[in-house]
Amino acid sequence: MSTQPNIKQLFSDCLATENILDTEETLKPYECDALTAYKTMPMAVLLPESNAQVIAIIKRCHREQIPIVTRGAGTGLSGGANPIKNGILLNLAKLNEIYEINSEQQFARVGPGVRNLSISEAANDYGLYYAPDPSSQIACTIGGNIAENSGGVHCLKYGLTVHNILEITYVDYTGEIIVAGSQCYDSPGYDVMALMTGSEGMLGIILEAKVRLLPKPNKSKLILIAFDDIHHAGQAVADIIASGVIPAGLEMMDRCVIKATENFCHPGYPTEAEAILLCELDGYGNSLEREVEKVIKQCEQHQASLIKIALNDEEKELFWRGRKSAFPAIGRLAPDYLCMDGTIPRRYLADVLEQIQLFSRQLGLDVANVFHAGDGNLHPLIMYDANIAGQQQRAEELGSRILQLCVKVGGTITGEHGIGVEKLNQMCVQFNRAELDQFMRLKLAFDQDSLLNPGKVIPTLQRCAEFGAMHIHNGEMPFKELPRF
Amino acid sequence: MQDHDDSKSLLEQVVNASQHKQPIRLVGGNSKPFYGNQSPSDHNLETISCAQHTGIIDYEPSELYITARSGTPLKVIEKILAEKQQMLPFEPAAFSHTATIGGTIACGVSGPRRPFSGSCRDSILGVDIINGLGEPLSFGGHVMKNVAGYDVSRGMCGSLGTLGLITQVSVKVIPKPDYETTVVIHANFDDALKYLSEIRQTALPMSANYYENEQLFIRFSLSTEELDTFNRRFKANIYDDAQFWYQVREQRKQFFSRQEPLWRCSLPIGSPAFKLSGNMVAEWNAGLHWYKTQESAEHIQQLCQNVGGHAQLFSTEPHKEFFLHPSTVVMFNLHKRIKEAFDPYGIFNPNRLFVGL
Repeated sequence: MSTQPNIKQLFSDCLATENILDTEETLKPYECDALTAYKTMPMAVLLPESNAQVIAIIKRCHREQIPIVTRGAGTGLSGGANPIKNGILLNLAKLNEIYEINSEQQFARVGPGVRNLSISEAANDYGLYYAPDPSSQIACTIGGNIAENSGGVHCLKYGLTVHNILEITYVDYTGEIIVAGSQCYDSPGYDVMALMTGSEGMLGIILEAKVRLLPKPNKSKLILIAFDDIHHAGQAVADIIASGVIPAGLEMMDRCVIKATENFCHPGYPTEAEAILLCELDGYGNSLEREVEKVIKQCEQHQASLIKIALNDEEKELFWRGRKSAFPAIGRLAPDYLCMDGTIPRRYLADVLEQIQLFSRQLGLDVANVFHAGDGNLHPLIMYDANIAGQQQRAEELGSRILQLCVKVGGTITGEHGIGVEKLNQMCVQFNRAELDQFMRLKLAFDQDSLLNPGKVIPTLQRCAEFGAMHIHNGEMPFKELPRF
Repeated sequence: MQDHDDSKSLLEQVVNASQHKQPIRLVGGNSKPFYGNQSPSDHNLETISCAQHTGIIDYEPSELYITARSGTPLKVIEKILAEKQQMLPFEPAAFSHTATIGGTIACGVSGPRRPFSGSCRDSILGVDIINGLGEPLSFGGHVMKNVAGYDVSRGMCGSLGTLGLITQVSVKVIPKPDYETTVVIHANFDDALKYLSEIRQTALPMSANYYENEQLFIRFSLSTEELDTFNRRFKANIYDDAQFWYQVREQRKQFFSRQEPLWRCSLPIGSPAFKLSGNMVAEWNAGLHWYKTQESAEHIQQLCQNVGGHAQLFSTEPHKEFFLHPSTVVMFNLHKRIKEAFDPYGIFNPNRLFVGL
C-alpha cells in the first residue's frame, strides 16, 4: 500500500514511475543506513538514472518544499543517510558511470554512484589507483565518500577524500548546477569544494566528481611488530613518525583483539603479546630500505618482542586479514558492542589506552582496542550484553567517557565515521553554541530553505545533553560482509 | 621572537568594528600587499594587524603538526621545524621576511612542492578565528582525521581575510626527505612536457619542477646515486645550486624582475604554452605558467578559461583591476552568501578577493 498517494504523481514527470518507491515493502530496505539503531520510513525513495532527472527532482522538491536526504550505498556508520519522515530519499546509486579515466592528467571523472573500489579497478590498466580506501570500499560510493570525507587505512600518507578530489559538480537546493574546484592545482575564490567535502549531504547534491589518481607504489613492505607492554607500542608509534618515516599504514591492536582475531582467522599473530603493530611502508629504491631500517630500529629501542617482515604477498595478505577481521572477531566475544571513533594526538595513545582500561574496570565492561595508530584514530569496541539489565546504559556511559577524553586531550569525537544523527549530542561537547550557530549560518548560505538533509550534524540547543554511539547486536552489523577497520 | 598573546586586543578591535559596522583592513606582516584587489579608498580603512600576536603554541615532532599564533613569522616556524628535520609540506613563498603564518594561510600560498606534498589548504588542520560578529570561534583541531562539522578551517585558506580574522592555526608538517637532488635536462617546452608526463607515470619521488629558457629542472627526493639510471635515460645532469629552489619559490629568478606585468596562469597539468608576446616560465608539472607580457587581461584570461584554468595579475604594479579571474554569477552569489554567513556587516577586507564582496 502506498504511504503517500500523490507521490508518484508529484514526481511522474521527473523520472520513470518504476524508479519511485512509495510502498511500505519497497521503502523498508531504506529505513536506515549502516547505523541501524535509527530507523525512519521516508515518504518515498527516488532512483534517478540521469543528471537531468536529479535536477528535475530537486527543482520539484524546492517548489514543493520537500526535504531531501541523499544516499549512496548506505554504508555510512553515523546515520548521515537516515531518512526523514516527511522527506524523500534520493538514491544516486544508479548514477554509477565512470565517464573518463585520464591517464595523462591522472584523474577519473565519475558519477556519484560509482563504487570506490571500482575506480581503482578501472584505473588499474594504467598503473594508477584511487588512494582513499575506507573499509567499505567494495560497496561505498564516491558521492558518499565525498559527503563523509572518508578516510581509510592509508590516509596518513595519502590523505583523506578532501585531498584526493580535484573538482565536483553539484546541484544546490534550487536545482542550480555549481562546479567547485578544477583540474588545476588551485581555483579562485573560496574553497567551496572543501566546504562541500564532509558536509554530509547538507550543502548540495553531488552529480559528478573528478578524482585524483596516483601511480601505484613501486614496492612495499609490511612489518608485524609485537610488544609485551602497550605503552612501549604507543611510544614506538610516536618515535617511528618522529624518525621521519610516514608509513602508508600503521595499525595497532591490543591483547584482546590479537587473541580474538587469531581465533577467528589465524593470521599468525603472537597471542602472548600485549600489543601488535602492523606497519606498511612503500617507496622508491633505497628509500624504502632506509625506512624499514628506521622502523626496526625504533621498535627494537622500545623492546619489541617480535619483528617480522612479511616474506611475500601471501603473508602480507594474511597479516592484513587479521586486522581486517577485528570487528567480526570481537563480535564473537560478546552479544553486543559499541564502536567508538575518536581521534587523539598520537602522544597520548598510551595514556588514553590506560584511561580506557580504568573506565572499563569502573563500569565492569571489557573494551577491545583496534585502531589506525598512525593517525591516532581509535576504534575502542565496548563489549556488553543488551539482555542484561543496565549493561547498555553502562556501555553508553563508557563510550561517553571515552569521547570526552578524546576531546580533552585535543582530539575529536569522530575521525572518519561522521556525525550524522549518531553524534549530534557529542557535537555539543566539541563545539560551543557560537560555533554551532556559525555552522548553521554556513548551511543556510548553501541551502536557504534547509531542504538538504535537515536535522543532521548540527544539534539544536535541546539536543545538547548526552552522548550516543554505534550499536551492534549479535555481531549483526549491516553490510556484515564488509570488513570494518 | 618575543611570544605575545594579543588575542584580547584583536577581539576588542573586531568587536568594535562589528558594533560600528566599520570596514577594516586585516594585515599580518604586510608582505603581500600586491595580492588581491586594491582600490585607492583602501588607505582610508582602519587596519587591524596580527603582527604582534606571535608565538608557537604547540609543536611535537611526532605529532606532525605545529600550532602557532597567526602573527608568528613564517621564517620562525620554518626554523623550528628544520631543527627537527621537518618542514611545511607546501613550501610557501614568503615574499618578505615579515611574512606570517596567518597571512600565508589567508592568501593560500603554496610553493614548488605543492603538486607532490599538497597545497597550503591541504595542510590545514584547524583554525581559530574571530568572525564578523566579533565571536571567537575554533574549528578543526590538531589531528589529521577529523570529520566533525563543516571544514571551515580549509575554507579560510585563500579567503584573503574576507571571512574572519585568523588568530591561531594548526598545520600539518612532514619530515624533510633524507635526500633532495636536482637535475637539469635541456629541452624545448614541448619535450619538457613529454618528459614530465613520462616521469609522472612512474612512482619516482619528484618534489619540484621548473622550466625556463630551454631547461627543465627537476628535484627528486633521492640521492645522486639513485638518479644514475634516470640521468642516463633522460640525458640529465646533476644541478648543484643550493639557492635554486629558494629563488624559484621567492621569485628571485631574473625572469621575475623583468618590467612587464606578471601573470600567474593556473592550468591543467601539462598545458602547452600560450602564444603570447613576452616570456614564460612554468612549474607544478606545467600546471602553473608565469607570463611576463603586455597583452591584455581579457585575452590572457580568455586563453586560460578556454582550457579550464584561470589567470591572476601577480605583481606590485598599481593597476589591479583584474586580480582574479571573474567567477560565474552563480558562484559569485554563493560567495556573497558565504561571506554574509561569517561577516554579515561586511567589515573584513571589502573587495579584496572579488569586487563587490
